[in-house]
Parts: sequence; structure tokens; C-alpha cells
Amino acid sequence: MPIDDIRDIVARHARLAGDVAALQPESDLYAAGLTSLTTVHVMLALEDHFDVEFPEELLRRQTFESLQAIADAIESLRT
Amino acid sequence: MSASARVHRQRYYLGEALVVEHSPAPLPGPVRDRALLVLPPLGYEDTCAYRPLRTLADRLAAGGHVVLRLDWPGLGDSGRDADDPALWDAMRQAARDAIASLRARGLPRVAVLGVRAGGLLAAGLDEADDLALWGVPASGKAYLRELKAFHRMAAKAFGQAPADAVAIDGVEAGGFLHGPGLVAALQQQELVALAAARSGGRVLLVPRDGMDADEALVAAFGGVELRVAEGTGLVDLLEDPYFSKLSGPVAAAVEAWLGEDAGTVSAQAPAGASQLVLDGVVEEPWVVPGARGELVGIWCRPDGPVAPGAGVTVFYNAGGVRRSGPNRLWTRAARALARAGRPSLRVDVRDVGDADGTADPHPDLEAMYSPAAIDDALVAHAWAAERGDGAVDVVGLCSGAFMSVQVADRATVRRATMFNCLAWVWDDDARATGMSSQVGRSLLDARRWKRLLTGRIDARALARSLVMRARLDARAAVDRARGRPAPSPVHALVRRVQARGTTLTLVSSQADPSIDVLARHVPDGERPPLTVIPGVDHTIRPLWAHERVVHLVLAGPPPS
Repeated sequence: MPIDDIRDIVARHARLAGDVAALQPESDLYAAGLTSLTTVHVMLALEDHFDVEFPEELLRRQTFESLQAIADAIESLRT
Repeated sequence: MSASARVHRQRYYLGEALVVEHSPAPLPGPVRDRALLVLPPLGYEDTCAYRPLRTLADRLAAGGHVVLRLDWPGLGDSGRDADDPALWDAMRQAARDAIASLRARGLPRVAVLGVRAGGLLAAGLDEADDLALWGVPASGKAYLRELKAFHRMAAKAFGQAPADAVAIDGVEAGGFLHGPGLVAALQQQELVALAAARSGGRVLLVPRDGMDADEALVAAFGGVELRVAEGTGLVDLLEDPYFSKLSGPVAAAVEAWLGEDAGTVSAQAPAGASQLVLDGVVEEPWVVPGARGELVGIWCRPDGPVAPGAGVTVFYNAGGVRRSGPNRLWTRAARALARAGRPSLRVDVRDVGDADGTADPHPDLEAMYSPAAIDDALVAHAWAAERGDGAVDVVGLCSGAFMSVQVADRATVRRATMFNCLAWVWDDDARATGMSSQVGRSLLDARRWKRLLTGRIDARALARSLVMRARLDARAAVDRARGRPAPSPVHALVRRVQARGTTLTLVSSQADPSIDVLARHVPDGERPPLTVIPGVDHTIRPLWAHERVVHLVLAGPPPS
């Protein structure tokens, strides 16, 4: 799971004002400025890129709270 | 606002839908021969997109087009409730009525711009000659899934609902209900299938921000003249009612597409109804001149005798939310009042909703609390006082609560019902509260500080506010130590307003900073009674709490 792909999607769709490249995998994306609305945009872009669909039980803040959490969720959907 | 100055607007009803018509000049007269019907998003997205879509309509009207914007049945100031089982059919009928009305007035070509779920409905309209689709989801199911995700992401702000909270049937998001009937209809909508069924005409596709147009959708539009614009501006359109803005590139793309090959015709004046008659309620658009153009609202009255001593209730804007109120609560409360024999006016002050003023996004919170906004609120009060034999009640949430108490300080108000009032007076202390409230109550929370420093919140403005707060607190501490504490301007205002005979009815959400504001400024024993609603956010979401809000507006002292 290339976390850089996720980082790139977050950079393009989350509208964080800070430097996304400087985020650590465990950095809190909501603390960095992710909102409820932009989370949905990130989710859709991730689904498009990785050809997955987040099931209802993963539609929660914890799934998108960090690059690593997103990577873990996508990994779980692909296995 | 050059565009506003050059266009004419008229409000009327087509069936049960409120329509705002934008035209280059009063009609009859010459216009471009391609008109546009704007079908807005649904629910909270509609609340956010309202002002930018008005700005777009002004721009297109300034270019010679007739543009209709409608409030969907079940939303804004149109008829029906959100849980109406036939809402989708009513929405389709409203769109068809609008297209038919344009043709009947001599406009031969009608294009439809559908935004988000409005585009799903637009795509199925055979009556539309041309179609522009902005950020339209691939299907109704996909759209509903987005709503559920959005609601779950936002739910953290609500807190714990009380045990007696009523369960909601349907899909809730952003304080709005998509009832079971609407959900069932949306689940049948597939954009690719709708596109494949179209033949002829022109289509403009504007994808979501940063996304390409769906290849299957492009292929399905094979029989039409298709143009794809750059996907941009959707997040700006939908993120917040006060700070939302219109994308320049999208506006330019729609303008160019709409104007292509458009000739000139002479169009007749609109023939819509001037009133909306509902069960026990009559509503009509209210337009009066303000200092910066039109102030706009809805005059709502009983379809029968007015109750003795009813007076008139005036509802003020909550931040950038138009007159129908947060989560459409003012429309709902106004109609409940009318059924109880009590008329009301829900009003847009300048820069908000359908009133004149700026077409630019707000840079900060100042406009909401400006003396000019209070002047507009006083114009509405004076109009209401004439019709209520001098008895006026006022209702507001957040900046609307500020407006309510400021009006009560300047004019006769019988009762002010104030939800989540963060600022009683607009001064440095209120600015500090307003800024800090944007990051929640715990300014010592390291995660929130980090969010500030990464730029979602204006860290410099907040820092200035905190310095102000520190100075104010220090000065207050010195004054207290010297045994002569300075009177709080909020406390003085409460005293003045109560001395004028106004009953203050205060309501706060459980974790709202408005509770601290009141406690900090008004001594225990002198505070007006405060009702606290648990488990809701600043704008009284989620849905289960809305009935309580309506009840609180209806309650209060019996008419004298």
C-alpha cells in the first residue's frame, strides 16, 4: 500500500493549508484541517483510485484520521 | 456589486414552489432566447449554495438571460415538509412547471443547471433543451451514501442525545431530513442511464473538484453535444453558508455555454402567483428598500383571523443562512405560529440570502454584527410593528440572537427568543469569543492548536483575539482588586432591554460557548432564564431537537 498515493490524494482533495508532504503517517488529519465535507471528497477519490468501496461500518472519523489509518482501511478492503 | 445593480428580480410562486426570477430588466422586453432554470442541491448543501447561485443568476441575467431559481418543495420557502412521501414527484413537477412557464412567455429554449442531487433530477427532464450538471453524483444511492458519511463525520459535535430523542425515519445529514419517500425515489436514479436516454441538445459537465468526468457518463451522452469543464469550486460552494463562494471558472463556463448562439426574443412578464396558500397559512414575498438595495423576506400569516394580541414575530438570519433559518427551522416555526393565529416575517438582511449586498465571500465575521445589519433588522421590526399594533417578538440564533437583542435595545420588543447568543454586543471580547468558538471550547487542546497553525483557522486573527481577551481579563482583575469592577456592557445591555419591558428567552445547546458568555458577563441572580438543550450542536442539529425549537418559539408569555 503506497502511502504516498494516499498522501497525494489527501493533498489534492483535503484542502489542508499546511504542507501535506510534512505529515507523518500517524499525524492527525482532522487536527491538520480535514473537515466533514472534505473527508467525503477524500473518500470518493480514494475509492476511485484504489477501486474499492468503503463499507458503512468504515464511514467514520477514525477511518480517515491519519494517512496510516486510511492505508490500513484500504488494505483491509483489498484482502 | 455591479451585476446586482443591472438586473431585475421578481419573486412569485409556481404551484407550491417559490421562484426568484432574474432578468436584465423588468419584462416584457427583449432578452436572450435561451433561459436558464437553476435546480439547486438538497438539504444542507442547498443552504450553503444559496448565495453563490444567486450571484451566478445575477451574472447571467446581466448578460441578457432570464434565470429562474426555485426553492425545492420541502425546502426553503416552498410548500411541503421534508417527510412528504411524494416529494420527488413534487420536485419534478415544480421543475416542469418552471420550464413550461418560460416557454409560455415566449422563451423558445430552456436550459437547466442541476447542482448535485438537483442534477440527478435535471438529467431526467425531457423538457430541458440543454443541460448543465455540476458535481452530480453517479447515482442517487451514491449521493445518499455521501450524506450518510458526512453525517457520521459530523456527529462528533452533537454529543449524547437524550433518552427521549425521537428516532428519525429516513436519511439525516447536516440538520436536514431526506424522508423515506425521497430516499426511495433517489435510489432509482442512475446518471448514466438518464444520460443514455437523452437525445439531442447540449450538455455541459462540471465534475467534482479535481476529478475527471466519468468515462461511462461521457459515453452515455454520445447523442448530444457534450462539453466538459474543469472540475473546480464544489467544496467552496458547499462548505459553509457564510463563507461559501462561486467558482469563477465554473461561472465563466456556464456563461459561455449558455450564451452560445443565443439570439434575442421578446419575453412576456411572469404570471406566477403572488401568494402561497397552505393548510391554515398564507405566505407572500416581502421586499422593501434598504440602505443597500432590497431587503427580502417572507410574510407569513394565518389563513383566517389573527389571534387577539398576537403581534408579529420577526425571524432574523443565523449567520449566512437565509431566512428559512437553520435547518429550515424558521419556515417550520413561522407556519406553526400562523396556524396558531400569529403572523410572522422571516427576513434576509443585507449580504445574506436573497437580500442585496455583497456578491463576494465574507472575509471575516464583521458583516454579521455590523451597525448596518442592525439597521436592516430595525427596518423589518418597524414594518412588523405597524402590522402587529406595536407588539413585536423577535427570534434569532447566533448572529440572529445578537440582532434580536440589539433591536430590543433600540425599539419596542415584547419578547426576544435568543438561541446560542455568542455576542450580545460586538466588541473585542465578542470578537475573541467568536474566533475562539470556531475551534471549540478547549484552547489548550494541542490538536486544536495544531489545526490553527496549519491554517484552517486564521491563526493571526485568533492570536489577536486571545491577546484582546487576556487584556480584558487582566483589566477586569485589576478593577475587581481595586473594589470597583467595571460594568460589563453585556450586563448593562441586559438591564436596559429588560427595563424597556422585553422578556428575554434564552436557549443554548449544552456545550455551546454562549453559556459561558452569559455566565461571564451577567451576575448570578440577574441572568434571564436559560433553557439548555442537550446533545445538539451550535445550529441545533441533529433533527430530533427541532420540535423542541418550534415549541420554544411557540411558547412564551401569552398575548396580552
